[in-house]
Amino acid sequence: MVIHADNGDEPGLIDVDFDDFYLRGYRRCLALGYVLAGSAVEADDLVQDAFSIAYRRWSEISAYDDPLAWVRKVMVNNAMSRGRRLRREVLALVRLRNRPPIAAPEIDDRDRELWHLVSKLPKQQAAAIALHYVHDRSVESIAKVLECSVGTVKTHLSRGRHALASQLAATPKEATNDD
Amino acid sequence: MTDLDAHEQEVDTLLRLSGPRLRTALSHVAVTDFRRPRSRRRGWVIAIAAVVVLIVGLVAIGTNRNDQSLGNDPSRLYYQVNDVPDGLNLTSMIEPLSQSGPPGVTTMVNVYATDAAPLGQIVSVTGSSGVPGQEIVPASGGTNFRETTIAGNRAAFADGQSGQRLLFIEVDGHWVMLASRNIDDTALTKLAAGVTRNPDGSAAIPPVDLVDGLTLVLGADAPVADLFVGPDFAGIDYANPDGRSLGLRIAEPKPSSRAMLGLEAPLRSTKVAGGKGFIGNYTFSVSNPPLDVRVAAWERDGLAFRITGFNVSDVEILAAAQSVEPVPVATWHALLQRTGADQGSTETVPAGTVPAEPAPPGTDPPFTGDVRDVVVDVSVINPSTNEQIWSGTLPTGEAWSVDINWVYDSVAMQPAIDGVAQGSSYGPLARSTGQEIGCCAPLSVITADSTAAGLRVTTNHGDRFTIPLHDLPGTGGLRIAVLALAGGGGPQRAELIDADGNVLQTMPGGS
Repeated sequence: MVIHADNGDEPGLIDVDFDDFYLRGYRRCLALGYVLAGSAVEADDLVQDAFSIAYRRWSEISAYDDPLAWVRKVMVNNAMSRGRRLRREVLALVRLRNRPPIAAPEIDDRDRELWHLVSKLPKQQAAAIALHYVHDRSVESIAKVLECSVGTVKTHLSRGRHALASQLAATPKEATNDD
Repeated sequence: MTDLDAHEQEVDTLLRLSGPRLRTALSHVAVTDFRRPRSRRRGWVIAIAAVVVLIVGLVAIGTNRNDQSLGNDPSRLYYQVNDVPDGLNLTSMIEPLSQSGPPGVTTMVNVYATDAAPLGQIVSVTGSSGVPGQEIVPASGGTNFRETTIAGNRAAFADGQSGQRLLFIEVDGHWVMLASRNIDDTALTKLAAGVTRNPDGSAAIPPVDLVDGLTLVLGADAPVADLFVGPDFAGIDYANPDGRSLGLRIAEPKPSSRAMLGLEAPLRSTKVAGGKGFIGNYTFSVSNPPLDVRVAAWERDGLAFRITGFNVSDVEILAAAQSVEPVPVATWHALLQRTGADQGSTETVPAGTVPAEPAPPGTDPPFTGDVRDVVVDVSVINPSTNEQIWSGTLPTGEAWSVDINWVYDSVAMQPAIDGVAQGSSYGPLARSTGQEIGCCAPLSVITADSTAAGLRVTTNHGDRFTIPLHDLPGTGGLRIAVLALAGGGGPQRAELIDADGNVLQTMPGGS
């Protein structure tokens, strides 16, 4: 299976089969999942779900210019979907959040707090911020993932930053959850 | 990005420094094994099935394989429902041994039950891990709170989602939650009084305190798959697009799964599938519309059967249970193929190609005209000493509400628009002076400032509401005002004002 990565967005994903695609793409998507889901365990879940969908449609996805962008799009969609929100409410219900993070990534406390706040923003804003600041995506690239205009991406980024400024200035423990 | 104001600039700098660090930190995480899908389903079916599986607790039917488990013959778990409620179609299947939880992750929950499980006394003990953001916040865990003191520690009783009795107790500075059934408050208090917190953050009831036949049936150090999806079960799901569904799970019987079943749903003993079994139902209220979850469970031929239905009746689920029969291997594989055949269906909407949803209000361009003062009706009730419900109607005709629960120094808020949950927020009850306005799920202000009179909100549509502060009983003079806006979008401006309309504090808006 061959992937034609020709837009420079994700160099290195050329001539790989699905397993290679997964192995190379997993870590690249994990940070986005972490920001969208708020924990490494749920990030893994989000990444796995998206790759599962890609796997089912691999013959089609593999022909895309940037299959990993498609995976990110699926992750964002899933993070915002009612079904996932419902599922995570169930998780909250049974207190799963008290389990330790998967593979215990060593994240600086300040960064952990900052990205925790980002994860609690409206998902479009969280996704825009994650893609822009963690994945170095351009606003044009983010607009493709979020399926919106460049102006809307800028609005998401601006509103997200404003909300973060407000929350960082406020009580540090304040946490909102749009799951 | 250009023209950032000072606040934005600060955050922009923080994010620019932090983003690469996060990327680097996560780049060292081991790649988890890819969980190859066994079936192809529409997104909503995946979600429903996931909820079914999670709620069922059949996850507890586990990963801990032993010599008495499936061995090399998973086909003994191949069953199907012959009498499926009208309109439900086969949507997905789960092969035995195909599900596994995240490696290295434990349940962090100790579960105790008696031989009578899923009936009888059952209690789970969940500790706070100590990881910031992952601590138990009592206010977010239930309703009808009653604060008390147990063995000198702060504690609070509450009611859980499906009628469990909850008891939160502070141990060594961290909150621990006990979720129980069929244990009265006096006995639960005794159990909580002895709870100890372990170095890993889990909490346990000492064996000496276990009375009336209670024994440990699931340990905090067990793989998380013992609490959720494990590999040793088979599943077959039926659903329709209207939200009705039925999921059958077949597994080895285990004390832990019986206990989790009893903890999840209020059950009664009845005849199921021609033998002794259990049935129960509860409302899963966080969904919209609320889901009626119905459960039927029984054991037969050395196997545990469990059917979970969403929005199905007792008659339908009992008929379905009665019709459960083993499936020959060839038939099972044919059914697997059938669910797999949906993969290429044009009915499936590829993620990422769905029509874009309407932009949430938070993405509207800033309002530039004259603002209009609009009277918004607000109703505030106190269902209990630790709960307050705000509701009203916005000029757009949308009904909004916010359910507020507070316990000791924590508060949780659940906003909704037209009955649809708009996220939730939880955190410390008291807010720093000058930082009393919080945004946005819901927009809220909690203040001890006696000169403050209300929260004034200007929306992106140019409507301006003034919402008077109300007392939060028992909080030493704190007052609160809240407003739910659709889509999680923030207001253009939020201000804390005094009785004369003077602005005491402004929250940075989107303009």
